[in-house]
Formats: sequence, C-alpha cells, structure tokens
Amino acid sequence: MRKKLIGFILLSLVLVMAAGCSGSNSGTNASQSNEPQSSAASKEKRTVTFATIAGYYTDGLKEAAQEYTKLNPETEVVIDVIKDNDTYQANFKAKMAAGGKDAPDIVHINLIGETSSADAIDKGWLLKLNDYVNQPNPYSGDKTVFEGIDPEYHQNTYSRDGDVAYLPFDLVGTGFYYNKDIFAKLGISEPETWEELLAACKQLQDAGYIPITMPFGFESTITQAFLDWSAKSLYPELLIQPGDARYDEKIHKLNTSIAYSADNGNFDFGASYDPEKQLLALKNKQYDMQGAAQRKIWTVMKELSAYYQPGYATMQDPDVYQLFIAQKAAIYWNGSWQVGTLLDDMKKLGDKSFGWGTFKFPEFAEADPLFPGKPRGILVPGHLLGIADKKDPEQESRTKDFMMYLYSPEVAQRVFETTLEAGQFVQGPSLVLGVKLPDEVNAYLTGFKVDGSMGYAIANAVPSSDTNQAKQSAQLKYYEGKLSLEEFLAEQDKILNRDMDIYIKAQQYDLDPKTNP
Amino acid sequence: MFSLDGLLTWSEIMIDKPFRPDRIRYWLKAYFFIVPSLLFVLIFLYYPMLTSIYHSFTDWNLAQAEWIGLDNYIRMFNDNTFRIALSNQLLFTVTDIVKSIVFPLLAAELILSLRETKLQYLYRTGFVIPMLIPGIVFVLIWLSVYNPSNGLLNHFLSFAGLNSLARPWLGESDTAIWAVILMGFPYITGLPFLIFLAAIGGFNKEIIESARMDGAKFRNIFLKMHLPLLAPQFKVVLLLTIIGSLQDFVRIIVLTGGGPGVSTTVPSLIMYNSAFKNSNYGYGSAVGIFLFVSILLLTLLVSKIFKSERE
Repeated sequence: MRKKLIGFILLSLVLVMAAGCSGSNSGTNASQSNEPQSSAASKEKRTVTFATIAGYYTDGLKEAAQEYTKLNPETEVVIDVIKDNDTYQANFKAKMAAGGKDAPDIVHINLIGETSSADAIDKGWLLKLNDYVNQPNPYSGDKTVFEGIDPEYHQNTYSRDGDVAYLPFDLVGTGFYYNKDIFAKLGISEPETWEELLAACKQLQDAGYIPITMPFGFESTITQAFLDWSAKSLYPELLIQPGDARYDEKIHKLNTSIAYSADNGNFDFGASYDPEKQLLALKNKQYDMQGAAQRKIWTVMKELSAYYQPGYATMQDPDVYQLFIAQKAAIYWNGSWQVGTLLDDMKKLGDKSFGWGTFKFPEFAEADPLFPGKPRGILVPGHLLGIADKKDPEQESRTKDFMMYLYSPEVAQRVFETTLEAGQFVQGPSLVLGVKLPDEVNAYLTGFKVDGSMGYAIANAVPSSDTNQAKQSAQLKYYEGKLSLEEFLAEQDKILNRDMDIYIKAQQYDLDPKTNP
Repeated sequence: MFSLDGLLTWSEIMIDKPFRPDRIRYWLKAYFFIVPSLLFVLIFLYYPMLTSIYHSFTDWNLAQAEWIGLDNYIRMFNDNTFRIALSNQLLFTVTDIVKSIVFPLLAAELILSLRETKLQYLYRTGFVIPMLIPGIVFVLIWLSVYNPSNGLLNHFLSFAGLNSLARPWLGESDTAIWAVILMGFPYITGLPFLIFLAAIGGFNKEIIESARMDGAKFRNIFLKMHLPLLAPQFKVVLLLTIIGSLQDFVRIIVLTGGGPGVSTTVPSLIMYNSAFKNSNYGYGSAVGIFLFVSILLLTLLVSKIFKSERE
C-alpha cells in the first residue's frame, strides 16, 4: 500500500512537470510568432517535383535538378517523367482536384488540359507569376527573371486576364523535313510553292517512294495554317476593344494598336480575342466554312492526301517516323522537336545515314487574294513552365528558386547540350538569353522559321471536342471519294454548328460582346 | 488464432444453438477475414460506380461538377458517332461470340478425339502456352502483321503473287473493322478452349462409348450428346465473352485508335476518350453507365436463356 502511494505521488509529479514544460513551450511559440517558424521551414527538407514527359529534355533536367540539390541540400528537386500527354493531364488534374498537396510543383502548362491559362489560374491550379518575373534572379547576375528571357516572347506569357501564367523556355515550330539525297537523285529542288510540292510528290511516287508521311492527327496543323492564311485579315474585327464588356484597359490596351497588314506576319502578336465575336464570325459567315477559301484549301488537301503513306489514317507516330528514317518516305511533316532525335539517329545509322533538311510551308505559285501575304505556321514558345498553386508559401518559394536556377544562361545551356547529347527533344531555339545551339542544329531549324506565328481566332473559336472523330470521318470519306467537296464542307459545317451551339449553351453566351457574359 | 481444424458445418451453426459464444466467435472470425476484401471492393469498385451514376447527370471536369440533368444521355443517343459505335460494338460482340465458341469447341473436340494421349497432351499444351503472353503483346504482334509497309500479311500476299490484294488493312475504312475482328486467328487459345476441353474430357466415357457401339457417328455424338451437355459451359463462355467484348477497347485503341474516322470506334472507347482525352468526365460517366446497364441486361438475358434445372 505504501509502495503504491509513493508510486502514485511520483507519477503525479512527472505529469505536473510534463504539463508545465508543455505550457512553457506553447508560451514561447506564441510570443516568438512567425520568425522562428519561417526559419525552421526554410531549413526543413523539402522536395520540389517537376513533372515532364518522357524524352522531353529529360536528361538535361535531371542533371540540373541534381546540381541544384547539391547547391541547396535542403531542397531535393525530383524530375517526374510521365510517359505520355494523357497520363500527364490526368495525373495533374486528379491531384489538383484532391487539394493539390501531392501535385507536381512545376508543370508544362500546355499539357495540363486547359486551353486557356486564365482558366487554369481561375481554377486555382496555377500561380500568377506577375511579380515573380520582375524579381532579380540571383543565378543570372541579378537580372530580373524576364530580363533573362527573349523579350519578343514576353507577351505570349500573359493570360487573357493579363496575368503571367508561365515562363517560356524554347520555341517550337512545324515544317517539312525532306531527304536531300533522294531529292538530289531525282533532281528535285526544295519546293517553294504548293504546285511545286505536289509536282515533287508525283515525281517521288513515280520513282517508287512514299512521297509524304505524317501522323494523321498532325495534318490539322497544315489545315490550320491554311485557315489562318485565309482568315487573318478578319482578326482585328474579333479583338476585345473599348466598349466591349470584356475590355479592361490594363489588359487589352495592346488590342487598340493592332491593325491588319498582309506584309507583317506578326501584326496580331499579343492579340486578345473576344470569344463571342469569334463565334459570331462563324455564325454570320464573316468567315464562311463552305466559302471559296475553304474550297481551295480542301482541294489542295485532297490532292496532297493522295501522296500520304499507305494506311495514314491509323498509322502510329513511331511507324510514320520509321518510314522517313528508313528512306521509304521522302518528305515528313512534323514539328521542330524531331530535330534532336533525327540528329541522334543519323549518328547511330553511321554509313546508312542520309542528308536531310527542312523547308517551310509553301506559298501558291500565283498570288490569290483569298490568301493574302505569306503563310504563317506554328512558331510559338513550346516548353511553357508554370508553377502549381499548392497554397504553401514555403513550397512556392523553393519552387520559384529552382525555376530561377533553371532560367540562368549557364544552366539552360547545359540542359540543351545534355539533351542533344542524349538525342532527346530539342524543340527549337532557346528563349533563355545567352543560350547558343550548335550551328548544325540551327541550320536544320531554318524550315521552321516561318513568316509569323499563326493565329487561332477562327480555328479555335470552338474548343476541340468529342466530335473530332466525326470530323475526321467526314474528311476521310472526302479523301476516299465517298463525299464530294460540297458534301464534305456541308458536313463539316454542320458538325461545327452543332459544336458551337453546345459551347454557346455551356458558356451561357448571348452573343452580344457589349453585354457581360 | 483462427484454425481450419474443426470447422463447423452450416447445419451445425444454424440449427444447433447458433448464438452459443463459440459460434459467435466463429462468425466474427469469418467476418474479420472477409472485411478487408469487402472494403477494397466497396472503395475501389462500388464507390466509383455509384459516384459515376451521379456524375453522369453533371458536366464534370474533375474540378467542378454542374448538374445538367439528362443532357449527357440525350447527347449520347443523338450523337451519330455513338450510334456508329453501337453498330460496331454489335458486330464485334457477335463475332467475338462466334470466335470464342466455334473455334475453341471444335479444337477441343478434335484434340479429345485423337487416340494418342501424348499427341492430345502436345496439342493441348501448344494451344495453352500462348495464354501466357500478355494481351497487349498479342495485339502489338498483330499490329505489325497488318503494317502496310513491312507487315507479314502484305508480304505473304506479295509472295503468293496476290499483290493486288495487299493494302493498308487498318488504315482503310472498308477493311479496318474486319482486320480488327479477324485479329487472333485461329482463335483457339484462351479460357473458352480450356473450359470446353475440361468439360468434354469430363464426360462419362462409357455412355459415349456405348453410343458409338450402337452406331452413332461423331456428328451425332457431337450434336445430340455433347452440345446439350455443354449448356452450362456455353453460358459461362457467353457471359465472359459478352462482358469482355463490351468492356474491351485496348485492342482497338492500339490497332486503330477507333479510326479511320469512326470506323472501328466502340462505346467504351468513346467513354475513355471523353473522360481522359477531352476531360468530359460527365459524358464519359454517362457512357459508362450505359455500358454497365447493357452488360447487366445481357447477363440477365443469357442467364435466363441458359437457366439450369438447379436454378
């Protein structure tokens, strides 16, 4: 009994002391407030995750991540390589929908499945980088983040609401790759007009080659370039202008100085379009999807399709590439991201390698008022890096620091070099000032340097939807001769109008740009 | 510790004082072991399925869901692509049923009619081993068989002097669906073959032998004895084939992606594309629910047709 009493007293003393210590701790925390917490947080080991796609600067990014972690041991940067775009999108969306805690910190904003960066910011998925881009970058001799990036492309980074949504890393373009050896053997020169290109295709076909190969899904980049060529004069009428409900002087002031010029391929640079005006242009047939321009576009496309690789409609991308690399196909329509891979494969092919070059989207032999000026193509920032809004200031701060490191000229140069050595995607010229690509690579990129970057004011008036397959089905029937040009254009217009109606209803538009949507 | 020793029979538990403490402990142990599996099934199957019913009435993009009533279903039935997908699915399912019954059944009959046991064993093993190949590899092999430039099929036609027949089998809308259907020739490997083989091998040999002694030919034995006796196996194979056919879009996504155009698309592929490519999770859920109900109804129909005496 006595032993129990002593035990009880000792236990009570221990509990009282423990409670006292605990009380004094809380008191200290409360009195010292934020400062020690913040300091503790900055020493805390954290992981910053950069989600990328397989082969997409992967080796270069991994090396940069390792080097950064050596410099900043409290922050481990992990490059999370995701196998394809669909998985990338699903992974990001699901994690953000679950609160974002486990989402990657740095993302390619063009792969997260939002066509508008403003929408991604509104949903709380991406951070606004408005102040960040004007902060000094300690890894770039204290130039601001924006000062380290090609100023010509700053405007691209703004969302329609005027927020900086991402940092551009490189340019990306589309063009025709061709086999110089086959062309030389048959005495064909680089086509500069569509007539020359179609004649070259005929000559190649007669000589037993597959004239032109491309992933069929990628054909739309040709039709969109045609559409832009024939519709660009209309673009200024579709801009958000003073008096429109969406107009905000801070954001849309640039629109007031945009004027169409057939000779200036960049006349619409930085334009912000009014979605209701875009829809009205199609509804009111300001741009007629069954008009003369469309008839010419699809006549050329049908002629071109006769030279596509057999089975083009369902052929997988690697098989398409293989036809070109195996010298079965002489021309290959694709993006500038294939340059790195092609250079690497040519090295591997050794004495079986061949000479290759690139040429631009051609013009028509005779000027056509329906297609004014020169054609444009894709020539836009490709690697668009945004920061996920994880509502965690410390995580945000660490992520921003790594981004600054990545955008320093030395580190970006190393990323490009390592990527090229590994034969991975180098999409095009770097937009980080001070980075230089080898002359050989620059020479291959000439075919992608088009007159300007095409606009999507008409092409993207209605977001792509589940009807893509139906559109493709009509297109194939037309190519196969099962639909006439008129029937095909009517069918395409019908699908577009149905998509428009669904979209207008979903967005609750009244199709009056003057009223608040 | 739970032990299998001294397991009680059902009648012992139910009839003889079911609430005795040792019996209650027995119940609790049994539930203890079944609960984890049940939880997994509830969380990963029933919960998503039930939420899909709700989401099928919404416009859902993972971040936000807006109630839109029957719009997704109306859109689905008004969509020409969906109607084409349904007719493609019908063709796929009917041909899948033929492939999973006719060829494996014939193969099983032929193998068991061989006199040499060693030869029987050899054929049986030969047809079963390919089951070990992952399904995706099997589809990829056929993708290369159909390759228009280097494919085995076109090479064979060229070798046989039938150059004019060579074509991009998966790339033309007239041939693509049949190329997908005919993939996998001679359709003998797989579960149906094993089911039929086991069932026919288990038939009472004495009865078959006496029928033979009475002058019954192979045709009569097959039609009048084997087929009626195989009714339970037909039911299982039919159910598995219908469910598999309606759910499967892997072979289509790998071979054609549903194309050219919509020539080979099926509802399950529309579901996948809507949800995971176009972020229309609401519409994808509606297609999923449609598939679920279709499978349920077909399962009930098959069960009714092949209702056994015991049921």
